[in-house]
Amino acid sequence: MRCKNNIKKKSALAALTASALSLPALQVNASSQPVDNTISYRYSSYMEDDAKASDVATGSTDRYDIDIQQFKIIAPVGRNYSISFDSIFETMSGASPMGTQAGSDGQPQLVMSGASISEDRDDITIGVTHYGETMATGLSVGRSTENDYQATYYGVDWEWEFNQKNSAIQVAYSHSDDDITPTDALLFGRIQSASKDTDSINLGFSQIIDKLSLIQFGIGFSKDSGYLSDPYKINDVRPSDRSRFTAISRYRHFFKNSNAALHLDYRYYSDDWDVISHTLKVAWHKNVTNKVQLIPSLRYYSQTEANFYEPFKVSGNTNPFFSSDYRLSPYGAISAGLQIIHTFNNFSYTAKIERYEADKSFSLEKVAVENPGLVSYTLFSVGFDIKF
Amino acid sequence: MKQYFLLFSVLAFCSACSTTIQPWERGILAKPEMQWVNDGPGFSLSNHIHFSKEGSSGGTMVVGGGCGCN
Amino acid sequence: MQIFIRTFIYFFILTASINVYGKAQYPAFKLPELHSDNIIELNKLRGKVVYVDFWASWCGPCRQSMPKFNALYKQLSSKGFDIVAINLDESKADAQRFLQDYPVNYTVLYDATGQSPKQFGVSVMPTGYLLDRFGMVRYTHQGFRDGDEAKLMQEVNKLLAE
Repeated sequence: MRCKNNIKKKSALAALTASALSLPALQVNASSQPVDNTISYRYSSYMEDDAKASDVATGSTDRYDIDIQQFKIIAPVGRNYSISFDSIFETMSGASPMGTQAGSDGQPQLVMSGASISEDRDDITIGVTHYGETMATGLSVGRSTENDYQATYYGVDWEWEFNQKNSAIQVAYSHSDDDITPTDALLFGRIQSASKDTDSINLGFSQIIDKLSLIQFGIGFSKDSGYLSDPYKINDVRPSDRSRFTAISRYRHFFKNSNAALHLDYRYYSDDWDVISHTLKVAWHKNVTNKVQLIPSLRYYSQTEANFYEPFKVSGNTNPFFSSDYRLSPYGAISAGLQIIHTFNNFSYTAKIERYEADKSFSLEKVAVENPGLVSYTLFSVGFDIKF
Repeated sequence: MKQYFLLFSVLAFCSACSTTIQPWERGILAKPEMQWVNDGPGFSLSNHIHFSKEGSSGGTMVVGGGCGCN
Repeated sequence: MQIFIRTFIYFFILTASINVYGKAQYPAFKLPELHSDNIIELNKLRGKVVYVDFWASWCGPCRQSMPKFNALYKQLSSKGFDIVAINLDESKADAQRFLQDYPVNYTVLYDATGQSPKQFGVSVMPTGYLLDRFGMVRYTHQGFRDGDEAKLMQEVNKLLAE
């Protein structure tokens, strides 16, 4: 079924899949009360590569351009508390895939929306943390809003340091309630309103190995229930539950001779839609001078497909669920980045460039048919931090 | 004889598994480049983008480390 | 008899290794100054009320505490108050760079061995020990937060009045 070209860009997809599971880790060093008040600002812009004309059956080949501004404030309060304010303001414009269909060669092609007007998404989170002798407890609440989407979320976390603060464990729980009211619902036969909720729990353990290195392990469980399909995609019907599991490991080691720190991060992910993924990130934080840090980084990602994913809908397929969303397809992605941080006494600025490419050949397992909607993008980011 | 062996084994094991770092030996661990996250807003943004562009989410927790001050 | 002697020796070694200095008298050790190679003997400070402050350039709270301690020192040194800051940085250069941004007028010593904080029983950075005129530890201050200097001043004045 072809769709009209003047369909408004659906921004909710970004929100649907991101949801509040991207609850910012507010207090990234939760163990001690921050000493200074810190204000941070970042401006970032990323541009998705245009879709190849041969991959598009109908609609625009423009993909997203996204502008993002972040404001963050962290402040100590009294002797034992700190508060934080974290916000993201995002503007998106461009077209996105509404579905796929078989091309003349049997390969999937994208059915794109027409060029769109811009959509905004605002995300605000506020947190409070209490610091005891060896324990820290935090509480956060937040809200995310777009014209067709709203999410309210909260989280609690508790951290305990022991063994002369050489070891630490953390337990965190969060919950999110999301509501979607798709635009032009009646016009296009979409669901008029729907909701979903998410619960997650995370456990972490970290250990100092020696003066130069430390390691961390963590596991997480999360469950989404409710309306999980994408209302803007043709024929998209997904199960009403999704249970996820993650296991992470992080390692940091300082090389004195190089005056640089090595960062290694690995995440294993699996869910009951049969998506399994591996993420490996390597970064080298090099002190070029005692004020300037240069950080090259590399990220590798590979995922398998959801069990109801198909490159395009085939008649006679009896599966009650279907999606041709590239996010549920098998593929791999590699990204490379370079960041600079220049620090003065109470002020620092940073600039970063990153290139992300998704392709079936990057996947750990052989992929027969690549989804034409796979995304590649270039990201620029600049910003500063002020302590006072 | 057996008791001494047991005592020494226990002490040896304890000293082997705990090279406990003293509070004043955390200079390198306190460096910004040795934190789990060196750029907080950058970390939030990366997670935000990846969760919306990929099929996986989660695994963002950070715990422990740092200077251990106060 | 042999077993009894052996057990006694092991027990003695065990207890002797426990920090017997604890909260009583500070050990009479010597440390070099940070800026020169002069050796300072802590013993020689008997008769003054002394605040021994363990710090390092990487310790965030120290950026707040040291200027406040310096103000306290300038105010009360004429009354017999002294501050001895013992720096525990692995690299002297880091400490010297810190003091360029946050200069202080009181004595700064350097201990690269880790012996002095161990003998004092430092369990968190920064920690300060307030000694009376006889060299007895009378007040321990762990960590540092805004406003702590007022409490310290109170304790110093109490000891100066003795």
